[in-house]
Amino acid sequence: MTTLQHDLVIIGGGLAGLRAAIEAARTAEKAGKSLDIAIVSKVYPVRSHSVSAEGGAAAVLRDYDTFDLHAMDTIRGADFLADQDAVEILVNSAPSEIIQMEHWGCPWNRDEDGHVSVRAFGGMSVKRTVFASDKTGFHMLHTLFQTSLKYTTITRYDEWFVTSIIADDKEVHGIVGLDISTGSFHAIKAKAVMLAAGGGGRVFAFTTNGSICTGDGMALAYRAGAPLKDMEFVQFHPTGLPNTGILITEAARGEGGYLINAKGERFLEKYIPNKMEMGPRDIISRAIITELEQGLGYGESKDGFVHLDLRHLGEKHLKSRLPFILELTRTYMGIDPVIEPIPVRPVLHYMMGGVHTDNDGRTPLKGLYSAGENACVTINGANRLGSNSLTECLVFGARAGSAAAGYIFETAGSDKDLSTFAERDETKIRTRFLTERNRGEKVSVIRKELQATMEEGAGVFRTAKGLNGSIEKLAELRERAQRLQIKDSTRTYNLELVGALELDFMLDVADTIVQSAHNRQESRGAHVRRDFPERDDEKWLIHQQANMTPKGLKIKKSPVTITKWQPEERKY
Amino acid sequence: MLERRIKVNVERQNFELQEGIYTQSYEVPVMDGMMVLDALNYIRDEIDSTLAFRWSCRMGICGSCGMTVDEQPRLTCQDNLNEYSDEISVAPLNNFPVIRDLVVDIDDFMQKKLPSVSPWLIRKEEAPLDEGEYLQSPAEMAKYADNSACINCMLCYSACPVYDMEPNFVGPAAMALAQRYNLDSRDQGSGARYSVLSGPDALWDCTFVGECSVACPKGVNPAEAIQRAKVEAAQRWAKSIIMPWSQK
Amino acid sequence: MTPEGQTRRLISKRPKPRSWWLLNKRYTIYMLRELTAIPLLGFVLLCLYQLIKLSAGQSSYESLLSAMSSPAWILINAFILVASILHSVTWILLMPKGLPEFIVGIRVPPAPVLFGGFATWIAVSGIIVTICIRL
Repeated sequence: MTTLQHDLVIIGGGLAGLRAAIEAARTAEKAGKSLDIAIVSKVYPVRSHSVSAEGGAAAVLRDYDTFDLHAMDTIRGADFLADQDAVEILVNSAPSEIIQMEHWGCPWNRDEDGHVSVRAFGGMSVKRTVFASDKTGFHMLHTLFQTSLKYTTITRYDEWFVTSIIADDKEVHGIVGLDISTGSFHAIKAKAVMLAAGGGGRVFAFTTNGSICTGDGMALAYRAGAPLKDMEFVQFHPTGLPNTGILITEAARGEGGYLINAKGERFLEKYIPNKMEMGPRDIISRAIITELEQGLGYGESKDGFVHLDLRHLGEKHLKSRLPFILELTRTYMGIDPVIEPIPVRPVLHYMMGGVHTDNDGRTPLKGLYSAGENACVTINGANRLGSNSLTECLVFGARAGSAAAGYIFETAGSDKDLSTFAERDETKIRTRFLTERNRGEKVSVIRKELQATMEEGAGVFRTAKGLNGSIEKLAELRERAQRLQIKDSTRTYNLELVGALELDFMLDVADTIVQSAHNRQESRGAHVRRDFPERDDEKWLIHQQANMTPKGLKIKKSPVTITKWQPEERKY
Repeated sequence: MLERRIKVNVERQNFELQEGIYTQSYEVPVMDGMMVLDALNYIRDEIDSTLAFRWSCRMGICGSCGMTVDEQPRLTCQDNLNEYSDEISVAPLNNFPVIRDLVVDIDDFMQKKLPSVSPWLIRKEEAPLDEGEYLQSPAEMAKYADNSACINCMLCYSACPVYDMEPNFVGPAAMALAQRYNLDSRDQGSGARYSVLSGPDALWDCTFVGECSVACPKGVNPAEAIQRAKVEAAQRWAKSIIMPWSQK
Repeated sequence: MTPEGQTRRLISKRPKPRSWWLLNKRYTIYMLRELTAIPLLGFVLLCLYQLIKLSAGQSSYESLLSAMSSPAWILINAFILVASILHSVTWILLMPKGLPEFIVGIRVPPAPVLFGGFATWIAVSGIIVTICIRL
């Protein structure tokens, strides 16, 4: 079988991956060099989960705003665990990235004078979130996808599932991918590989994330020897629809919506009176859970909810600023926010952690890059501010794309023969999953138990006991997942097999989350330990990097970069 | 309350197992508010793990889960089972080659048709970023807003009898997206796009069935976009006859 | 994309029943409208034939006219009239889907578009009928 070959292989076709691909192509164009880029995605790029982002992207575009203010908001939101040099890069580059998107056609909402509009967002001290209605991610993704079509140097492998990164101790050589539609395995040789495959929210049961968010990119890096950083920090968005977990954007509060408990009170008064609904997500999610635990919500505490009240904003405003929210609540709840409050509860939304990279997307493994939710630069620290992640995808996607291009121009590329790797993966996978396939349990059974134990142990409030329980449960599930019952042995579009491979990745990602969380004996940002309720800067103002070793997961600690802003009590 | 149970008749095929189409029926317990996609997920998780279908966001925005439900093209994640009887049929989208079960091949759109209409903003000269954004009023934005809402779910192609008969037909979504850029006040590339749109297999193959706009789950109106483009294309053609020097 | 030499084995499109156009009433109306092209073409040919006869002199034209006053021809003409009405009405009913916005620059709701379409159609038909009767 011939080995396919490209200079740069980008895994994932969402915002970060597309932005990186375009930037790599432009970098080559400017340098007058040729650069052959491939985007390998397990779905068509427009299906990537970036599409579901609603609220907006943050950037300093107004005279009343400053880079320092945006940086300070981000760092405080991150509970001082963000690397401040990375945050400075983010805020400095954000405006030009937003304008670049505008120049590519992104339909940002406009003020009457023709300038791009901004709206308020949680934890941001001034209005600085640009938006495209309440379908910002959708519009950004389609704009980038359509723009990417004009670059003939970008080849796409749509609906290819990457099974492994080919690397040795020194550097990356390529990847092995499964063409889902034919069931055939292929190696793709590359001088550099970039992981932009998003997060893994599906390791939790109740999540805003789509079915594809199974942490593939994180697990691929982890297995190839790159560390996963800050994995204990997962974000619960305060407002998801009960049962489905569908996201109701923070912009609903940014536009003026209230959170109300069963007694009719704006209960945030008790928790964050100076910010109220515009507080950061971790604090508001904890407030809601606390209300529910005290019996002040609606329904049972376990799946209870509070109300998000938008009625006072008026139909006209809702229709112009939050049309998608009207559509979602009507379709999935049968509720009209113009006349009724929306039931909401905290829901797993985002992973602050990811593949450890420097400020140009480089991982410690030579030739391996990462960007977007897949990566951990880190600008999000212990808690991401809403509307920083779309900006992060642009800024660090572009930086990683250009850095990867620069690296490729300088490197000769290995002469390693990859012809056996596709067969190696195929044999391994088919032997494990399809030869003795009727002995074990169904993929869906293990997946559901995995999701349940993550909710149980790694939720909004955590304890050593709960986390220990999850660690043990995960070990048991990993054992059971060695023998899966896979009924489908055909090659064409075998989604049962893909589901098994995803489950395998999810188990790795879940393990890094609970072990890192168990290790971190303090409460910071989105990671709150009931047994260690205080922040402990003396011991824990550090990142944790989870490494896969032959003896299992090993955590290495690394310092947080502080530039201008000394850690202080996080007050709002 | 008595649990509602429905019968889901799924049209399946997998050439590796057998030639041709067969229908498999599943019984699914239904709770209030369940969508057709939820029923399919129940089937895959609880009854038959071999059933192949695409889905992801389950909130009507990623465009993965278009299928034919009771012979109508539907986005299954927002297709409420309350609106159906206790027996429904689910089949792959019409007018596309089937890969397997409910999965159809849409590479024709993603790799060929969409790129063919240059769906990106074309400027004679790119302004430097530090000059700020190209100004655009909300009214100017409203002109193309509807056409920019396309999620590429392919329901319109599935509903289009012209596409069925003329596989080379550029089709509703691609032409609506071409119009999305043609109508954008920032764009300066409509000339290039019209030379494709007025050419073979595009505008003039549309016989104005109007079904694309009925099928669209996101309120895009490809039928309107195409008819408008026809008027514009005709004007451009007339102008090129009367004033040949105006064409550059 | 699938690498060269690794072509996907695709099953053909989902077969459609021959009666696919009966699946919903909009398809049915569409097919009927398309079918009206045949009687309308017939009418055009008839008009041309009339012109040929007319140019051949008064007697030949009058013999045609008397032939065409037979019940069969009247039935055929009535059928063509029904077909052309069907064509016009269903086409005008589609107008709100194709027309809004491009005349006045703002989105026009369906009702005025329909009203305008029917009014124009009736007015133009009325003028033609009046001219024919006057002659």
